[in-house]
Amino acid sequence: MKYWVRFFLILFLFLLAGCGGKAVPIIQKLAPLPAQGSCKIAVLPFLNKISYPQGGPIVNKIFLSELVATGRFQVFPEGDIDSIYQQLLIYPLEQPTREQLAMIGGRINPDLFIGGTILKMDERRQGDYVHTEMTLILHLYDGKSGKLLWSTYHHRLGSEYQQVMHLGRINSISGLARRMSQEIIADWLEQGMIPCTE
Amino acid sequence: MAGKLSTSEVQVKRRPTAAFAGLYLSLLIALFFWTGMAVAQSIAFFPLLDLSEDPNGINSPLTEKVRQELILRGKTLIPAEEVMQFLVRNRIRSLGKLSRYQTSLVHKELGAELVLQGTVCQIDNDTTPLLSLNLQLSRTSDEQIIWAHTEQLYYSDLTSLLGLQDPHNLADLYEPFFNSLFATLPEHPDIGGEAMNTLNIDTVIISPNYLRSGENVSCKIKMRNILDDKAIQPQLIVRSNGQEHPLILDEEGYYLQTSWPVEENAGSYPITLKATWPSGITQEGIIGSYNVDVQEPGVKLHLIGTERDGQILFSDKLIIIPKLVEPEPIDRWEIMVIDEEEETIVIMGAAGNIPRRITWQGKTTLGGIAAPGIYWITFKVWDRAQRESYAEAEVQYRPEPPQILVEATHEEDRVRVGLDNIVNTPLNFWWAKFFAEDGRLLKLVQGTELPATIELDNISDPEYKIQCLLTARDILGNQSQLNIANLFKPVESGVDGEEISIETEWVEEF
Repeated sequence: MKYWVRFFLILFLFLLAGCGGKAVPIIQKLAPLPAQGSCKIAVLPFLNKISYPQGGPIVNKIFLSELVATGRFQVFPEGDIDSIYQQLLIYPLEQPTREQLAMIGGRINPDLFIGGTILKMDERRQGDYVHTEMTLILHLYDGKSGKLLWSTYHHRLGSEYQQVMHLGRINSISGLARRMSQEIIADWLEQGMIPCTE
Repeated sequence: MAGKLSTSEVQVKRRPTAAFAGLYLSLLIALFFWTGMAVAQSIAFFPLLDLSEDPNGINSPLTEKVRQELILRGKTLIPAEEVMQFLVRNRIRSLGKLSRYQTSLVHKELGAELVLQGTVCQIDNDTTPLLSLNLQLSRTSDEQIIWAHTEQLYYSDLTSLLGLQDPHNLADLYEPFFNSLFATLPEHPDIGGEAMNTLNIDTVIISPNYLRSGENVSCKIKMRNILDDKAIQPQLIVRSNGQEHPLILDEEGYYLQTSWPVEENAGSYPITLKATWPSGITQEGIIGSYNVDVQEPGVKLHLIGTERDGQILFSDKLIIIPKLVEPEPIDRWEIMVIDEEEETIVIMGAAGNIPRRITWQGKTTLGGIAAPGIYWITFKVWDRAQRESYAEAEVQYRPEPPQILVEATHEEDRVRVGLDNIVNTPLNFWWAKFFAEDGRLLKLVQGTELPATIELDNISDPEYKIQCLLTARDILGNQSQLNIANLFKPVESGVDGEEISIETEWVEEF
C-alpha cells in the first residue's frame, strides 16, 4: 500500500512538472470589431523587427493557414494583398497608412485587416532539443476605414509546452508560430470576434 | 382460376424484385458516376516555395516527394510540365502566393478544380533533421482557400527511450510527417463554390494626385477580365465628393477612364468605385484619392554671413538656410545665383523636400571662381500641386584681402608713415611694427580703421633703414601681411621681400 501511495505521489509530481504557467495573449481593445462580423479577413505582410531569415513570411503563412484551419473565416490569399501592395507602391516591410488600408479595403472588401510585427524570434540548439522563443504583436484594423480596433501581444517559449519527459516541447520556430497563432485566434473568438455565420 | 391466380400472384411477387434490381442497377450506375466525378477532381500542385533558402527559393526534390505522396493517396494531379508552362505563360515569379485572379486562370487554362500551393518553412537534412511545410488548398470555382495546414517535425519529437528507430536523416521523418500533414486533407472537397462578385482590378491610375482648384483629375482603371467576353462585367461608376462620373473605355480598349474638375476647397478627396452586377449586388470601395491644394508653400531665406549696413557680406562661404512659411511636402526646389549683369552663374536643384542648408563658396556651376561683387540668391520651391514660391536675397561677395598702401616721408628728425586700405571692406584690426637696422623695435602701432599716420621720432638720417611688418584683417576674415625691408627704398616685387599673402588664422610669422 505504501508503495502505491509513493508511486501515485511521484506520478502526480511528474504531471505537475509539466503544468507550467500558461501565458495568454494580452489583448487591448481600442474600438469594437465590425458589427456585421469578422468573416472576410485580409492578412497583411507581417513586419519583421528581427534578424531571423524570412521570419516575417514564415509567420505570416502559418498565421493565415491557422485562420483557414479554423474553418470559420474567409481568408484572402497572400497573392491578392501582394498585388495591391505593388499597385499602391507599398513596400512589404512597411505598415500601410490608414488611407492606404482604406484603399486596399476598397479593392477587396474585407471585414478586417490583420497586421503584425514580430518582435522576437529565436531558435537555438540545446542538446537534443531546441530553444524556441517568439514575441509578436498583432493588430486588427477595420476593413473599410483602416482604423485600429484591437491589438494583441503574445510571447511564448517552446519549452512552456513541455509535459512529461520531452513530450509536448516545441522544437521548431514554425511549430511555435503555429501554436501561438492558434492561441491568439482562440482568444479572439473567446473575446467576442464573430466569425462567418454559414 | 386458382392456377391463374397463383400465376398472377407469382408475377405480382416478381415485380418488386425487378424494380429492386433496376433501382440497384441505377444506384450502382449513380455510384459509379459519383465515384468517377469524385476521382476526377484534379489538383494543380505548384512547386514548393522554399523560405529556408531565400524569399523566392524553390525546392524541387521536396516538390516531387509531395507529388508522389499525393498520388499515393489517390489524388489526380495536373502534370508538372503543364503547371510549369502555366507559370511561365502567366509570368508568375512568386511561388506559394497565387492571387484569386491567378487561381481563376488555373481553372480556365489547366482545367483544375483545386490548386495546392506549399511553402517549406524550415528544412534541415543533417543528423538532426527538421522539416516544416505549409500547404494551402484553394478551390478554383470561387478562388477560396478551403484547407490549409502547417506540419513540422523535429528529430527529437520522434526519439524514444531506448533510441530504437530514432530518425537520423530527413527521409526518416517522411512517413510520420506526411501521414500527419495529409490527415486532415479533405478526400472529396466541395468544388461547387459560386464565384464571388469580385472586382478584378489590375491597375488604378489617379493623376495628378495633387492639384490646384479647378484643374482636372483623371481616373483610369484597368480591369483584369476586361477583354474576356464571357466574364460577367459589373456596371462601374466612379464617385467623388458626392458626384458620379461614368467610366468610358479608352480607344485602345484597355482602360476605363473618366476625368472631372476638382473642388475649389482644399482637402483630400477619396475616390470610390461602385460596381453593380446584373444580379443587383453592389460593391463600393475606396480606390484612391486626390488632394486639392489652394495655398502656396511660401519660402523665406536666412543667410548666415556678416551683416553690414543691412547687407550680407561674405568672403569664404555663404550659408543659405531656406524655410517654408507654410510647411508642406515639396515636390522640387531650385537655387540660382545671379550676378550684377543679370547672368545666372549658379543653378542647381533637386526633387524632394528642401535641404536644411546650402553653402555657396563663391564658385560658379561650371567650376569657376565668381568675381567679387553683388549677387542675388533666388530660391524657388514647387509643392506637390506645382504651386511655385520663391525668395530672393542680395549678398556681396568680397573674397579679396586688404591691400595696404604704405607711404613714408622723412621730415627733419622724424619719419611720417601713412597707411591706407584700397579695398573698401571695413577692417577688423591692423597692426604695424617698425624695426631699426640693429633689430630694435622702434614702434608698435595697432588700430581698427585706416587711413592712419604714424610718426617715428629721432630719425635724422634719411638713409636710415627701417623695416616694417604690417598685418591687416577685414571683418570677413580676409587677412594680409606685409613685410617691407626698407621703408625708403623702392621695392621690387618678389626681390626685396615684399609679399602679400592671405592668412586663414592669426599667425605672426617672421
